[in-house]
Amino acid sequence: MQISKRPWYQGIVNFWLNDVGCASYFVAAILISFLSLVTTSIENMITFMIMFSTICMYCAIAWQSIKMQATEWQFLVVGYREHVMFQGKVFIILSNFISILSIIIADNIHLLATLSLANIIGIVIWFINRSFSHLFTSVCYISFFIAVLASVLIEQLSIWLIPVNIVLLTAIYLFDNKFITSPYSWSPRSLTNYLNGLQSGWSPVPSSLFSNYGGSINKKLFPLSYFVGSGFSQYLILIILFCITGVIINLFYDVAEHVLFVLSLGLFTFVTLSLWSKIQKKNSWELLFTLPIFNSRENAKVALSHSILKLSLFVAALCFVTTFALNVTNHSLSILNVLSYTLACTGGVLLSFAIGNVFKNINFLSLFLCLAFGLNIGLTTYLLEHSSNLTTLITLGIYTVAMATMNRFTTLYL
Amino acid sequence: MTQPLLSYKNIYKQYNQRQILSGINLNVEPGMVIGLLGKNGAGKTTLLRSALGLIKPDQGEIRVLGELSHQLSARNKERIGYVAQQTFGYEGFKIADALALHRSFYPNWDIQLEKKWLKRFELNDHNAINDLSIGQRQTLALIMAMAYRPKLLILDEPVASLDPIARREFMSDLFELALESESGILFSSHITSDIERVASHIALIKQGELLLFNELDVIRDTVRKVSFKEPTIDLSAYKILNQQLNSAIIYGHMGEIISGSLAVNTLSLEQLFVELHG
Repeated sequence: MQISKRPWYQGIVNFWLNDVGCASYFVAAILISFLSLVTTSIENMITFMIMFSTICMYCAIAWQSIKMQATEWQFLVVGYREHVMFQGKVFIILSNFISILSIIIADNIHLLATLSLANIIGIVIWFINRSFSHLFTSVCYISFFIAVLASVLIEQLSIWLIPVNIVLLTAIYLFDNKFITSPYSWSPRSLTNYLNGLQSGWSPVPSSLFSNYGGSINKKLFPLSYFVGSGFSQYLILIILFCITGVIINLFYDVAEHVLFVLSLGLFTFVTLSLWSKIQKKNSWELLFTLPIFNSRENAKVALSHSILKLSLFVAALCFVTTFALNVTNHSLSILNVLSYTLACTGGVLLSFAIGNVFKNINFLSLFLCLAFGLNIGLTTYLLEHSSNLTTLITLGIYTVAMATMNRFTTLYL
Repeated sequence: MTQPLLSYKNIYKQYNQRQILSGINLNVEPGMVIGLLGKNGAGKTTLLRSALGLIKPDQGEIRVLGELSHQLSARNKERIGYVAQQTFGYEGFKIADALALHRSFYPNWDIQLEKKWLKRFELNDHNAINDLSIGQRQTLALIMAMAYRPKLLILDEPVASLDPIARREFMSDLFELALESESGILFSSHITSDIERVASHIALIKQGELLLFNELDVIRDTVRKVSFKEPTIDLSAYKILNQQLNSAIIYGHMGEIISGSLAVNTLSLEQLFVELHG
């Protein structure tokens, strides 16, 4: 017989880092929180980072709330829910503490209004998801959209918003019981919502979108499309549509640079989401090997590597055609710029897939994908803002070939 | 008379305009091991979940350890063990970490019992729960539900994914637990041989109705299949569980001769189940 005294941090790593669904928000929140400490001089950046990291942390808690609703036995274990939620509250305080620290370093009191607004958005996500787990993806994305809009469109939130937000936050906290009577209660759909959330990760696109048109894309890029699921063709179609729209708008307004920035952002987000989905589907390899089209495990791995190369060729073609078409109207980019941008995007996609081949652990994968994402965006943005020369082009060519080779080589680790 | 550990009184539940439970009356007394038998969709899981207050019945009252099922006190929650059909909850944990955390919520946790079962069922406590097979997850869930020796144990198809040896061993442990701790156990299963091996009582549920509830031996002794030529045969002295053109399943037969019958046969639990749903 044993009587144990439980420390508050017991199981903290397992709950917040080893649960992949939660980790995707939690790791992002922690990383961006700490990054905000070193980017205090860039005003737009720090506003966005404070907003994003705070909301991400609330999303991680909302995720634990969904898990709680999906766990039938949790209400029988007295103190279990309180234990997990206490850890969540500690993280919220920590996240706010880091944000306040970065606000002090930045010496900008207006950022306190941003932080208080982020807390309001976050607490709404958390409280809604304590009872309505099916709303998780939509609530998160509406909130992220509001957060991005607020950071981009409003230069600085007014100081008077600080007390207003604090009063609002307190009111939500105090009166939420009036609206939601039985938070965290088990519901039969929660487990499905949890598993769906796990599979789609950060993907905001409804699974039925473009379902009629994606078949041939999925077929051509099999088995890569097999791992990612319906989102694969959806994102590719969305990116193509975006490029066409961008080129048309560019005929009337000079938006070439914006379009190319969003294109690279979209491409690398798509690759990150694809790799995220791939690591979720642990049993997929076993299913894939049973298909009669593959003779062996090696055969399937080679096929995957080929489909990644096909995707990179597609990315190269899309980037080149889009950049070229945008350049026809206003000639702001040289042919060297066009080619350099194309190679940087293609190489970046291949680098991310190579990382996906090597890392099996979701936390390492997330970390290295974040770093690759930053590197890729940084590189493409630099190339758009600076004129390229032949040396840059050759270097990028070597980089792309090296990434293609690395991608082929790293399939051994799959 | 002792207070039942779990008592269902006239329970009705409807879902999507379909009657899931209809007039269920059932008591689980200390020392009882009740095997709940029924087809898929018969209402077994709903019945078990409603005992824990996870589902609220439309009508009737469920009392668990003397309290209403949806208003259980912390003290009584610690005396209930539950294994759901789909084991879920400690994703991201290693077995040792999950057990350590789970154990910390139960002051009466029997660590020797936990170790004994981990060893017996060859669970390596360094393994990650995400990497366990369904059967191993189910074993772990059973250990978590039984190691604090609950007074009432509710198990929803607890051994469906276990191999026959593990199933037998767990079933015998269940029986021992009920005897030693005067616990009551209500478990659902499709595996009639398991139920026959350990259950003291059988509850047979069909389309939300409790068709039969009694001691296993009584059911064995008094349920018969009567074959006849004329459908006008008088079976009014018995409870008819199912009637076909030339046969009927009756309950309450005490060995007397039934006039007009061609044969009166005993049935195994599996035969009874098949006949009732055939």
